[in-house]
Amino acid sequence: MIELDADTLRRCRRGDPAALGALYDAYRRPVYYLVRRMVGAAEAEDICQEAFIAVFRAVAKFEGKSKLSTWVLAVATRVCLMHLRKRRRLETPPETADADEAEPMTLRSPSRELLDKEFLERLADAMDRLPESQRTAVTLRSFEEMSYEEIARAMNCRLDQVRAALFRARCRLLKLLEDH
Amino acid sequence: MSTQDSVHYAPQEWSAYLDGELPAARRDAMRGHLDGCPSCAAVLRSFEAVQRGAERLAEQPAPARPQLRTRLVAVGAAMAARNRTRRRWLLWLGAMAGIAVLAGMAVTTWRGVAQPQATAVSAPAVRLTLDRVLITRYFVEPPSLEYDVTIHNGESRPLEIFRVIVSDPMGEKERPVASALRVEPGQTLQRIFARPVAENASLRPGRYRILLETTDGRLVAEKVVP
Repeated sequence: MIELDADTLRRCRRGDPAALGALYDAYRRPVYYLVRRMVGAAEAEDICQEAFIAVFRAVAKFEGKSKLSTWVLAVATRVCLMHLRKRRRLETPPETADADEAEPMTLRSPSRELLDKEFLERLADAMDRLPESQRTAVTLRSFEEMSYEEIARAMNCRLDQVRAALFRARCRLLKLLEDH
Repeated sequence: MSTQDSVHYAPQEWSAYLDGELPAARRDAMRGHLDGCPSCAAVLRSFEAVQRGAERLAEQPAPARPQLRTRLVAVGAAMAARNRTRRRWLLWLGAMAGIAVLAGMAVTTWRGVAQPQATAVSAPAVRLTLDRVLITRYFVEPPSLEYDVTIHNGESRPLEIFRVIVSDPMGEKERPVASALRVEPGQTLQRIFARPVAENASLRPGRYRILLETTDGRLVAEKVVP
């Protein structure tokens, strides 16, 4: 993922429109993807917009303790989680994880299937059916730079919870792909 | 650990192995185990397939929205400008408060007793008024709870509204404003914010509140329905 140079970041903190535009351009794709996976296509545009407003509001306080890309994704994750929490108050409780995830399924020919567009469509569909914490963890992990520690910080949970969520997500995805 | 003694690594460990989140010694041992254990190798390959697929999904392009970009950048720049102004004001107010305290102490020392002063309260330059709340029923669409508001911008700069939160005895609904809502300097704007309600809903007694998040801070207005 792209990292902004120090000068652009400094100008972002001052609210320079060109620098804010560069920040938006650099992270529009990953933020949109994250939001799309977490809240669904119908609300993705609105929540993406909220996420960037939150990023622009907080960028002056970004201390550089992590990579900017990680920080932006963490802010977007929190906006999504807040939105899901509000949505949950108005809707029925979400589906909980199955107990039959102890043993993973195996794909018959993953390397061949990976080349297949249909496989990606089925995988996207399966990801939408994951419980919230698993979906969040596996989405953040798909940005390869994000470590367990960074994911834990973004999700405000412990390292072992991230590890468990990723494992369960992968098992469940394999099961959903096989059942398809 | 090897296949000769029919012991395998736990699938959880292969998941962490894939993510490079294991200590180096453990990772090396597991790598060695893979050569002689087709079962563990199959588990790892499956996890890899899912992970690589998720990474490929993340590479897909997002829809381009040039107008949204322009608007978000304008909102970001306006928020930064407001924060700068606020910081300057806080510094200035801090300095003035310090001077006032010193002056007050001096006057008290000279005159013995400080007289209370009447203070003039001026109307805020940016105002939000909740004129009425009502439930409107249409022929085709579901009924909606409507908040009729008036927004006045008495400042010299435009006011951008980017989020609306309404709360009422029936619940709370937060929504970002989908298109740019901008109130020009000196402009007074009347607007209806609505949220859909159930077919048989009626206006319940209680407190109805609307909050607008703007580039100039938060604006709140309330109305109590008896």
